[in-house]
Amino acid sequence: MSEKVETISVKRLSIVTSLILILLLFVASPVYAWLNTGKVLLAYAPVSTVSSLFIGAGHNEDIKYLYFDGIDAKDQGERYKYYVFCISGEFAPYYKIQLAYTTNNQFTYDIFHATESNNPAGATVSYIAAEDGTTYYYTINGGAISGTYLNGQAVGGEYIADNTYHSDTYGSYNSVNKYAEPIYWQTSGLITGNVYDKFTHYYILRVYLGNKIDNDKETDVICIAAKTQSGSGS
Amino acid sequence: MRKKIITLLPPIIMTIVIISIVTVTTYTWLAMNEGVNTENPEMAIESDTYDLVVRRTTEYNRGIYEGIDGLKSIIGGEGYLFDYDTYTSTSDNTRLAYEIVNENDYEGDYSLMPGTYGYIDFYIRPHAGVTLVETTFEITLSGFKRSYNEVGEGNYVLSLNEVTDSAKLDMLKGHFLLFEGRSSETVVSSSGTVNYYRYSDLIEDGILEFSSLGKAKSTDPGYEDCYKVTIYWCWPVTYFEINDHYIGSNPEDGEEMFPTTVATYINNHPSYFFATNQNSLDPDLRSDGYNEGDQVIGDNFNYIVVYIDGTE
Repeated sequence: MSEKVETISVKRLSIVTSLILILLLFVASPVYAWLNTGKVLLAYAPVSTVSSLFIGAGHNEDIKYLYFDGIDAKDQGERYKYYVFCISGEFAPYYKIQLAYTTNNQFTYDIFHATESNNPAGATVSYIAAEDGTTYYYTINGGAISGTYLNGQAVGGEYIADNTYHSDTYGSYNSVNKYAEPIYWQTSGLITGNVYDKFTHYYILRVYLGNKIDNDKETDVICIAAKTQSGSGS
Repeated sequence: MRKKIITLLPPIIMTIVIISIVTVTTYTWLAMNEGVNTENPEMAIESDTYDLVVRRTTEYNRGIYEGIDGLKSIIGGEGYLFDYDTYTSTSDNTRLAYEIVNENDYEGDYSLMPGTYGYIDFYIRPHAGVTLVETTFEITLSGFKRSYNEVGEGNYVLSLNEVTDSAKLDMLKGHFLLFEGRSSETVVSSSGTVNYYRYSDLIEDGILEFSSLGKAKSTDPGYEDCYKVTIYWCWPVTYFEINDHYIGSNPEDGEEMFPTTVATYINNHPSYFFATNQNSLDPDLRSDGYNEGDQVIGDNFNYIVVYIDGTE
């Protein structure tokens, strides 16, 4: 008899416990879920990623192989010198090419799009790959890329830099030869990169010696840079 | 005793299983964004006092966020909606996404970079009958990075993934500074009149307290029933732009830009500002560390996102 009573009590206890728990469940769940119905705003913007562009030599080799050998202006046969370089990157929708150069020699510079091939026919410049010694040939595509001088001025038959960017270049140091003040130039429009993938674009830098016939001990510095851009505003 | 326990076990286990199933189902249903109306009286939302409203209607760079693995695709998969004309309130959809306003562009490029600044604003629309809104917004800085993942020998898949590395995310907290206040100031120097912004009320560790007590509602047309909230952001171009321009420090160029709470914030959280030299107090070493921090951000983020969580 007592065992039967005990069994019934346990059963009753089980049922009551289950009912209480289920009731708690139906009260707790909506409250918990309600407490977690969020209002969330997300504000976003792209980051100008500085490391997504690289400047390299021919055949997309490392920049250490980009070499501008000495120019002898006495050589009257060649008034133009050509050098191949590349701009490679990834996930950069657009970019601009920038030049900065000093003006001791009064050379002028133009940049052209170029195509790489193994065929020397019609090529403007060749490049011997450091990796395996293969020679690659580069042909100019179209006219010179249009650009804008940011601080150039014509003075006495010469084209030199004005003082617009003097403090950016030299800070408060003022004893600077006028030819050591660099001219800054950049492409006018945006060059299309590739926002979804890697890319490599080849270019030819053409140096025009002009009428210069002697450049002994005259040195110029030229810097090539590339800057990513996400695009113009809408 | 053992018999009792054994007898009780089946109903208890069954109850736990039922609890788990119903809890997950209910939570999942309520956490889904589409078709969920936070004003559904069946869900007892009486304590839900406001909606968040967005007025941003355009983007600077339409096109760069699109694509299979574009940012909008990723975020859209998490329930955020972008249609500015249609989805402007969390009463329409509890998750809204819109572009940060960048007031400083580089030749039409509105990407974020050192030296840029702007704001993120939104409105709080109290529900009918609500006379006081008091809430805490949790602001979280995060970001996304594109990468190539090798799926087979020589085969790569391009993907966009949210950054999870805490050290990299910490760098955003020190370089993408957030403030509740900003005023336009003018200083006259030898080079002429210079206009600059002075910031106030640094938002530390992503906590923004809001109370409508004593606040006037917005005068913006169509939003007269709302309180406007503006978060000002600033990415100082160098460490010295911060360190040499505290309010009250009488800087050489006269531009007092940042409250001294930023100095305290730097000293309490050097890992937010400096990628290297975190233990140094030398300004030049700190400057190097700050520049390295900029590089960390540039190397590891293609997009910065700011989560503003107004969950009550």
